[in-house]
Order: sequence, then C-alpha cells, then structure tokens
Amino acid sequence: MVHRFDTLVIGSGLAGLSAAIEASLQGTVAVIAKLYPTRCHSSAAQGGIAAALGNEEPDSIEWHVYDTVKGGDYLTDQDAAGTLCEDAIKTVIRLEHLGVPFSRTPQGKIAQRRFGGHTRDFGAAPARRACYSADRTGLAIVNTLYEQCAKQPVAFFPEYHVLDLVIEDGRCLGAVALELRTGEICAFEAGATIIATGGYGRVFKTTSNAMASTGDLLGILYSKGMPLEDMEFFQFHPTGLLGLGILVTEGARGEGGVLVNGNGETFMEKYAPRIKDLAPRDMVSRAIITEIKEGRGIGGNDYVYLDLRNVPRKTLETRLPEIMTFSRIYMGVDPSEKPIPVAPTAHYAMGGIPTDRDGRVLITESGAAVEGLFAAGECACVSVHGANRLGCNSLLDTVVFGRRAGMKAAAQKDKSGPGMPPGAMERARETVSSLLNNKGGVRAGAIKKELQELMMDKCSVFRDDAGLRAAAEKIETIRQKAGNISIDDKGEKFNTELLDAIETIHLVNLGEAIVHSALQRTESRGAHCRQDYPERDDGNWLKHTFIRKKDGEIHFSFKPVSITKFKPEKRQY
Amino acid sequence: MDKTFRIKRFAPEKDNASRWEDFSVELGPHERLLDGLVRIKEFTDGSLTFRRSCAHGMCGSCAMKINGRSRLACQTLADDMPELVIFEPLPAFPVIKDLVVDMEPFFEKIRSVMPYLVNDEPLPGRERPQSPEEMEKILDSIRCILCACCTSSCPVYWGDKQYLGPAALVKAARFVLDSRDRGGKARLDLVSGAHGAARCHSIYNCVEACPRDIDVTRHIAILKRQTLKRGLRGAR
Amino acid sequence: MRYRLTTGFFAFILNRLSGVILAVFLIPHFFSLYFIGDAARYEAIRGFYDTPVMRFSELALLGIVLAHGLNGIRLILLEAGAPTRLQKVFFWTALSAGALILLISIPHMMWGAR
Repeated sequence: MVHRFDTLVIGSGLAGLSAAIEASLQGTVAVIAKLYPTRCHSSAAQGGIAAALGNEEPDSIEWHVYDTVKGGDYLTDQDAAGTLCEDAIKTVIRLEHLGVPFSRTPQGKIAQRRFGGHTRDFGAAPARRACYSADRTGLAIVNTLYEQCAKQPVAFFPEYHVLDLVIEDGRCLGAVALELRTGEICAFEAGATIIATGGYGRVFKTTSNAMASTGDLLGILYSKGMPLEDMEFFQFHPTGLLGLGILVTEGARGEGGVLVNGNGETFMEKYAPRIKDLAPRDMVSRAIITEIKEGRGIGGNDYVYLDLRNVPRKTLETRLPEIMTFSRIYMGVDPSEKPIPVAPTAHYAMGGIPTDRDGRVLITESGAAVEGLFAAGECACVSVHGANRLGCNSLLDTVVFGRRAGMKAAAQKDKSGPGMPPGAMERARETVSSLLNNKGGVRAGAIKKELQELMMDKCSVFRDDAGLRAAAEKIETIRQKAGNISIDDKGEKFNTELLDAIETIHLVNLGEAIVHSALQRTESRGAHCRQDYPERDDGNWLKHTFIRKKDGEIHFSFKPVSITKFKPEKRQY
Repeated sequence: MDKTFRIKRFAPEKDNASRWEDFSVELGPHERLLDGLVRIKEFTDGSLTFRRSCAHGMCGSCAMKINGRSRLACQTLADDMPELVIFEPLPAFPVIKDLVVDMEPFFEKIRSVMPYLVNDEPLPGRERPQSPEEMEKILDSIRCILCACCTSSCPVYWGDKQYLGPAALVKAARFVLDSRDRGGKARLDLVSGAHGAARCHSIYNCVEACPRDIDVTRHIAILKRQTLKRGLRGAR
Repeated sequence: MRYRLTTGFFAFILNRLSGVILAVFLIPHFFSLYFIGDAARYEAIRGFYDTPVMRFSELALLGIVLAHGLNGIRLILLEAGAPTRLQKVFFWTALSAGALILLISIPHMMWGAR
C-alpha cells in the first residue's frame, strides 16, 4: 500500500506532535510511529519546561542562554541556544493557550521552580525557571498536543515501524514502514519527512528510557553512511531508582531534596559549592560515582540516598506526587519517612542527527542539507545542549524545534515529491524476510544484553582509552553475532520479535558510534569524562564531532562551535 | 523467587481459539511482572506478544488482565503476587495476538468527546489566568494515561460496546471542569446520550482498576449531575 | 467474562437481581388487588396470605425490597457527590441495616397477628 502526504512525521512524541500540528496548518500530515501516540516517552518527562517567564522571581532570556551554554560546557551552539531561549517564552504561553494544565502561583500565573543549572545573574544563585505540571509535565503536554491533533487534519498511523528512509540524489522521498498489525509493508510518500523518534538510552543497561527508545532512525541514517553528531555525549541522570533506572526528577532537589552518602553526609558542596545539589546533571552524576568509588556509597554499595525528609509532606504530595508513588511501588519507600536509594541512570542523548535551527538534516559539517528531510527533538543535534543538557531544556527543545521543523517542512514548494522509486518496498521486504529466515540461532535478547552491559561498564559516566578500545573491539564481535539473529515467531501479524531484532541491530550500530566518538575525543567536556584526559581542551576540541561509516570504515570530521556572546570559561558552580 | 506465568495465547495465523501456556520464570524481589514477560520473550519463546514501553506506569502500553483484573504489568511487583500468575488480554476488546488487543474502539471513544480545550475568546499576551483552586479541579483527571484499564474493567462496557466508557468520560470531565474551557454545552450534549454518562451504574470497577488512582466514577457522577441539570433546564 | 468480583460489582448484581424480582412480583400483585371485588373475596385472599408459605414469601419480599431500596439510597448518595472511598462502607452498611430490619421483622411477619 502506498500513502501520500504533504508532510510525513515519524514519531509521535512531543517533537513529532508539535511538528505535525504546525505542518497541518499548511497541508496534509501523516504521523507514523511504532507506538500509540500517547505511549511515547515524552510522557515520562517529569520536572518541567524551562522558560524565562519571570513569574516567581526576576529572570531574563540572556541568563537562560548563558546557563544553557555553560551547562553544555561551551559546546552549545550559541545561536541555536539563543533561538531556543527566545522562543521559550512564547512557546510555553502557546502551550498554555492550547490547554496544558500547568501548576499555578496564587496569582493564577504559571508556577515555576528551581532546576539544576538554571541560575540568575549568570550563575549567582539558582533561579525559578522550570514551568511544571506537578511532576508529570511531559504527560500534561503530550496529552494536550495529542488532543489538539484531534482538531487538525493529522492522520495517525499508530504501530507502524519504519524500516527505511528513501533518499535519492540528496532528496528524501518518504519512508517505508511495516504495519505491525497486518505485517504489510507500506510506503509513505511525502514532500517533506520529519524524523522525531526520540532517544536511544536502551543502548545502556540502566536507563530511564523506555524500551522503545532505540534510536531506529539514527541507526537507519548511520547505516546509509550519513553523519551523526556529538555521539560521545550521553547524559546520565544522577537520580535513577536503584536497579531500575526509573527517573526521579531533579525537581525533587529543586524542592529541597539533598543527596546523602554512606557516612550520612551531604556531599554536593564539595563539588559545586555555590549551587550544591542543583549543579548540572553531569557534575552530580560524577560526584555520586566518585563517592561510591571512594567507598562512601550506602553501606559501601553502589548507590547513595536522595533525602526528601526535610521537604514538607504537603509539598511532596502536591508537587512530587509521581515520585512518591514510584518510590512506594518500586522501592517500598515512603520518601517522607525514608530516603530513596538512587544511582545514575542513562538518560539523554545530546548527540544525534545533525540539523540546523530549522530542523534541516545536514549531511556535511559545512552545512549542506538533505532536501525534504528534517529532524527534531532528542534524535536531533541542533546543538542546543552541547556536551550536557540542562534539565527542562529538553521538553523545550522538542516543542520549539519541532514547531520550527514542522513550519519549514510544510513550506516546501514541491509538496508531493517525485514519488517512491520502484524497489524501495522490495528492499524492505527482503530485509524482513531475510531476518525471518535467518537460522543463525542467536537471540536478539542475548545480543542486547551483552551490548547494554558492555556500554554500561566501559562507556558510561567515566571513560578511558583502554576501556573504550576494549569496547570497540567487543562491539565488532557483537555486530558479527548480530548477523546471526534468528526469530522464533514466523507469523506476519504483530510480530514484535521481528521489531526487537531490528531495534537490536540499530542499537549495536549506535553503540559503535558512541564508543568510537568517545574514543577519539581526548578531553573531558560535559557528560563526556575521560579519566585519562581529565581537563577540557578548548585548543583542540572546541568543535562538534561528525561520525560516519562508509564501506565499513569509520570517518570523523568536525564542525566549529557557534560562539556569539559567551567566551568559554572554566565551568564552576 | 519462582513464578508460574500462565498466559492465554492466540496466534492469529495458527490458532482457531485461544490456548493456555505455562512458563516458569525466576524474578528478583524488586522485579515487575513485565520483567518476567520480557525475559520469556527474550530467552524462552520469542513469539510471546505483548505491548510494552516505559516500564514504570506512565505510557499505558502494558495494560492486561492479570489474575482476574485489568492492570499494568509494569506496575505490579512479582513479590505482591501469588506463585501462579494468570495473564489474559484486556477484557472487552478484540484480541489481535496473545496479550495484544485492538485499541481502536477505545481511542475512537476518546476522540468522540471533543477532547480538547475550546476557547475562542481573544488570546491574552500572557497565559490565561487560573487559580490553584481552579487547577485543582482537573488535577485528578489530567493524570490519565489512556491505558484502558478502566474501560476494560467496566461491566456496562462489556454489555454495551457503544457506551463511551470511563476513560472517554474522564476526558470529557477533564475539560468540563477546566475553568479555561468554553465548550461545556456542546461537550455535555455529546456525553448525555443513551450511551453516555447516564449509562454508568456506579459499579466502581474502574476506580479499582485505575493504575493512576483516578476517582473515575466521581468524574462520571459530575457529568451525570451536569447533564441532568442541563436536561431539566431544557425541559422548562 | 471472568473478572474478579468486586464489592461494587456484587452490589450491582444484587440490585439488578432484586430489581427484576420486584418487577416480576408486581404483576401478580396487581392481579390480586384487581380481584378484590367484595368483602368475601377480600377475606379469602387474606386467608390465603396467612398461610406459612405466603408469610415466608412476604418476609423474602421484605428482604428484597430492603436490599434494593437501601442500595438505591447508597447510589443516590454517591451520585449526588458522596466520596467514592465510602462506596464499600455504604454498601455493607446498607446490607447490614437491611439484615437487621429483616431480623427484627421475623417474629411479626411469621407469627404475628393479622
């Protein structure tokens, strides 16, 4: 079956929904996603969305830009950060107008709270900049945008798994997808295609990401020899529930929670004397791992406590109700009575598909773009987050750049596009049938487990040359094994095992891109911390990495960082 | 701890009727039933089919019938369950494969209640004001994750597939109760028919099934009262 | 459909069942009222109702009316805005109150003067 739309959006999280709403004002739009729209992982975002509204205390766009740049350890493209923070205010106001149920101040304005790395007066003290809906801000925004789509001419194709993007002569013609329910291969022809497939945290063992967060479209682009940017930068959120990796929002510390080590001491003042527990996530994660490595984990184990007992019960119940529930259900802990055991959890990919500020997918570091192809949200790298994202800037990123991409995509002159070339669907059919008929006897689950453990062990918060080299070698053997994945389920209808296999192959590719990118960057910056190169090296490394694989060989090239106002300084909090 | 997972299975290409299959799974103290299902799929029988994504009760994918009631597999700890755990697809929806049901009838109901904010008044330059007290009225209903545990547990829905069902009614109530919304009348008309709010018999299965602890029946009761008021006024 | 029997569902089934029984009961009830033509007929019918079987049937009828009526009051209260967390309490209260009234009524209904 062949579908034809002006704009095709892949992914139905916040970036995808924002893009779809915007594009639907100028033409027909299809949203295809492997999940039902509201099942996206944007729903799991807790803490808030940043905007310098100044509702609770004075704030300015410039402070927000500064924090974003400094939080990104100066790898942030400052022109893009400027766009993000300027658009933030009208974006949040627009979300409110669309119906997002934000928490409110007594005066009826959108309430704002403190969040890691957001400060006033260029780092003087924490600022209230996070607009929130209790601790379920993502869910509130996802629901609202999905509801808005019911009003617009947006056609949803839920549970369609994209197998291939069709790019010919520098132009994207659409995508080929598997309709899960029937097993049918469908083509979606479009004048413009927007990739909004989110993150790929499932490359790590412990992650806050959903099982569906496997970066499929990045995997597709990488295997086509297209570049991925800054893949070495992967953020570990300091507070994941022990063992499960389920996120405990930074908002918990924004409301007064503190981290405590095995000696019962708070420790963040050693690492960030001014803003302590509200330091950016990369620093807090390193602090926790350092405490653990130096034997000050709880009872000598691999975790610390997040102590919320000094936060009034009423605040916990009204502003952090989900955290209360998660702790109770999964840890058996009531946070108002006992501290929560936490450890860093793989959370957010700063790197991804290189794009410009309008979401156009770049194919070279000098700025050449693929015609008709856009990307937005976590899968894209604009780069507004640089080497480390600040909390609440990701929801903002998805909505701001999702809208921009939607706008530009729908404005494409040649709306229908030249149509699918013959053979595009045939190729996808062959991929599927070769996977179904492979008798190699290797289980996708086993491959995934091996990869995730390897990445966690060698390529997480702290990295070094020896570990990364070993990881690179091991990934090569994992890749070879992945060629032998075979599948029990031979049925056509709703074959999720087939999708698991496809996702696993993408994850292996992304693991490779992360490890090799991390290996070549011989400095420490933001979330990328090399123990053998502990200092930031602006002389050699103030630049974005582009990794691409051509004919089995990995190549690197580099793109300069856009620096407009804030010259790189030592990053202290 | 060892558990026996007894799973109701149906392969659309092979089976004429559903069949039961037992798996034995070892689960750690903090593990969820979903972890057990994933382990079976990854290491024992890859053809076992179920939906899953976030694994912590925020996405609503893994709703299924577990030991006789609708709930999320990711929000149920193995420790809290007996040794034998029985899995069935969500009641009242057509089964596609194993534990996967057709969700279209569910989402169709959600879309039919004008599930969006209606307000044509001129936009202020800033946010529309709303007091914390006004916001509190929608605090319960905005938590819904559309997992369908409520609707699938509702005996009225079992008997009347045209009934809007608890989830769609909560969605309608979410906007009826929003101080910023102006679509009240049209929306109340949509939920006042023979298959609308009045069809609810206050059985409370939905409240017990809701993994988000939403007071579903209270929202339906609010709609009942408002549609009744509107009906009485219309009759005068 | 096998689904765990909850209190609310049990109450619903009880209400439905008692409702149907009461509706069916009303038909012979109206007939017997219709056939009261004169004093003699009235006496005959009264005699008929004074037998142990009919006395027991009337006791059962009282039980069904109590179950239906008290649960009806519970539903009205709940739908008028009584908190959901009380629904089970209300049900068991209604049921116990009904049982108590029934128990107290036994001597009169079974053996009392008519």
